[in-house]
Amino acid sequence: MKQPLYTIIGIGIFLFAWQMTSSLGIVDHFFLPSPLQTFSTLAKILVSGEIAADILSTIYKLLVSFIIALIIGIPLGLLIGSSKSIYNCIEFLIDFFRSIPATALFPLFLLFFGVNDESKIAVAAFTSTIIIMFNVAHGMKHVNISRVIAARLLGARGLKIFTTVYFWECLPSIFIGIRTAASLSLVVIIVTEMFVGSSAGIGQRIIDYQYIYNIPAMYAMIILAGIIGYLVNYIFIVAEKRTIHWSGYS
Amino acid sequence: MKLVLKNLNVGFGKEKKRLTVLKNISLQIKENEFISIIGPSGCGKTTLLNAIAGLIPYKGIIAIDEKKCIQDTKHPNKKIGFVFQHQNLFPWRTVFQNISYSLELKSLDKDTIKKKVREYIALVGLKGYEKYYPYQLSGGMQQRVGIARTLINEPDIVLMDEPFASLDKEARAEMQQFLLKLWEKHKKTILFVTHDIDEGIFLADRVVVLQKIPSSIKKEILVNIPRPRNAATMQSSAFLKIKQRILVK
Repeated sequence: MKQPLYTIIGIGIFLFAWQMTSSLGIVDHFFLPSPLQTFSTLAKILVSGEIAADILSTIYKLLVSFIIALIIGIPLGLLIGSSKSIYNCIEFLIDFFRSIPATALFPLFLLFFGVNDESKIAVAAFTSTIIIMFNVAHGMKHVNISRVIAARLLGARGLKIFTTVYFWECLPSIFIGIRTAASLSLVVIIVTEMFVGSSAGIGQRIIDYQYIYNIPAMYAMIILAGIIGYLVNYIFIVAEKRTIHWSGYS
Repeated sequence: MKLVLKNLNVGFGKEKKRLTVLKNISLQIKENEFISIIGPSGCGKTTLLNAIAGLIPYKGIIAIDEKKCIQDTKHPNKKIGFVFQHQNLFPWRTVFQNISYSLELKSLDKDTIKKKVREYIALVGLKGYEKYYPYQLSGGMQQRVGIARTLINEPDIVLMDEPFASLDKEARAEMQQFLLKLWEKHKKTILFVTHDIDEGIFLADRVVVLQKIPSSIKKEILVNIPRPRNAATMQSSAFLKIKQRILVK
């Protein structure tokens, strides 16, 4: 049997179990609408266009924070990883900042950036930058030195060694960092959208629908958030397969 | 003389814990000579090649074309070509791009690079594999790429560090024949390190035998077996006599 078939069977079993839980009244129908009801609500909301601005807003924040993290995280990671002393000095700090739950920092960012999109973007960008930086630095530190020597013997010097060997050696780690950062960014953005002062966003919709007890719509938005998260991850997996198909061999 | 080593000493570690790996190695190698260096594992064969390439610090003199080499491990000697035991090809580059690497660094124009790379791809028998990535090739083919990548840079001296050690027996025999044919067409000064005595004799004009650490030259034996050599060479009495002389203590 092919993989897609297994996937469909898995989804089918899940939906069936959900339907049964709802139909048999194991969980109060009010708290758990049936899948049919949830998906038809999702379709209705999507077609009506009332949440188009929210989807765009969440994706916009995700994109901007992600680009900021790339621009800051990759060069910093390469720099930190290229020097043993810098790496040793900073390793603990990175580990510490990485361990702070990103959302714990949100009130701090609210202070600095105010109650609008900027503070949400800033906290997501901060979290992503740390993760990307850490992964890139780690990759840089574990570069296969024999390939660097081979490049030197073939005449590569200075910056050329960096652009033709080190960068490529780090590329798999860069991808791991990017993928982890993107997933976490989405979490951070959706959570922060639930706070006061949000104007739009999927997170805000989830909490709004919960407030007004439109439970099927709330479930629909949660599923939508899942779909976006899955797609973001999927895009990076495809990009990875194309650009670093060679990694893991050698 | 193409390459002269005079009282070469290499050690690792500091003061009391210092481990002398190479002790007073002196050797003279003629232009286009094929030298095999054999010895027990861990006897410093690779260290010797690393010193000649300028990858590690040493005491003593290494001279190429009567000119003393300057020691700078960050800037190893560009006149030296190095073929490694473990294929350290660039996995993100195709066969073509691996071979063209040193030419790109010299910023030659694209057509010149293309022409030259094609020539070397044909030379090592990899026509049709230009667009393959290293992970799509067998071990023997990867070594061919490694050899082409080194030769295209036109090094004065080629150092080979057990290049066929990780290949199976058949591929190994094939690559030995391949290397000899290549060398006969395309003469170069080669230092070939191996722990396989048969391989060492089969390829070389001269075999240099190293002994255990601290390593010095135990003996040098001239291999006066006519070329071209083939599989039957290894069964000839001349071959066996040389092997005996190497094995005798």
